[in-house]
Amino acid sequence: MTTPREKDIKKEEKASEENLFFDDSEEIVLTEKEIKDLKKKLENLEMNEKTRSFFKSAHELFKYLEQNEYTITLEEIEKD
Amino acid sequence: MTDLIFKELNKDVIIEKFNCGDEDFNYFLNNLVLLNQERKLSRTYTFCLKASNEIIAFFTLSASQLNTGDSRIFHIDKVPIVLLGRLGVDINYKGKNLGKAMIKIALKKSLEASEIIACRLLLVETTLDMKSYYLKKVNMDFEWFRDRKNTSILFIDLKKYEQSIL
Repeated sequence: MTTPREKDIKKEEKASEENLFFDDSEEIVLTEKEIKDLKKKLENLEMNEKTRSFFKSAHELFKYLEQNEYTITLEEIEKD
Repeated sequence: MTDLIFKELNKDVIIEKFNCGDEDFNYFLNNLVLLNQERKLSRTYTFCLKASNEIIAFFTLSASQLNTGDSRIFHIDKVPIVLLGRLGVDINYKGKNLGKAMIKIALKKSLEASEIIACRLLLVETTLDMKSYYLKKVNMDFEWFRDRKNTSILFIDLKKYEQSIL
């Protein structure tokens, strides 16, 4: 007979076997071209106004959440 | 008005009713996120309805790396990154900017993490049909990195984000 605890352990083991989170996690190894492209992108810290404004809004959203005990209305998010 | 609360996933959050329309995601949320969190394999953040504590949106973050193989970039052979592994919104709340809001929060969380343990990029592995959403529909400065069999890998440079808010 299986005890409830044993059932939990089995369920946990089964879930671990099927850990979808890591399904696609084969290690990413960069090619020579990707390394070159990535280096170029990381060296260039220029950004356009739209990007700057997105980053600022990200910062402001989190500040708003902190100031409001992490509550916000769906309507406020929709407007943003 | 629908009041929401942003919180890290815990056992009190009601997961069962969540449905983002993708069985894999629903299964993942119902069976694996808490396990992964307890094992310190990933952190899950949620938007819940304040009145009922039901999840309506979530994303997961974990540490990872990009391996440069035999070559090096900035004299290192592994670029430290934050992986935004999963992001889902309940079908009843799609089209309300929750995805965008969660990316913004993921950026902030990643930057905070990078202040303790360095990481340069926020990496997203998205389904191919969502690729254009990230690259074109929202101005989030995602850079395309590589397509895999069913997914596309995109990233945001955390250094740029940091610079923009100084």
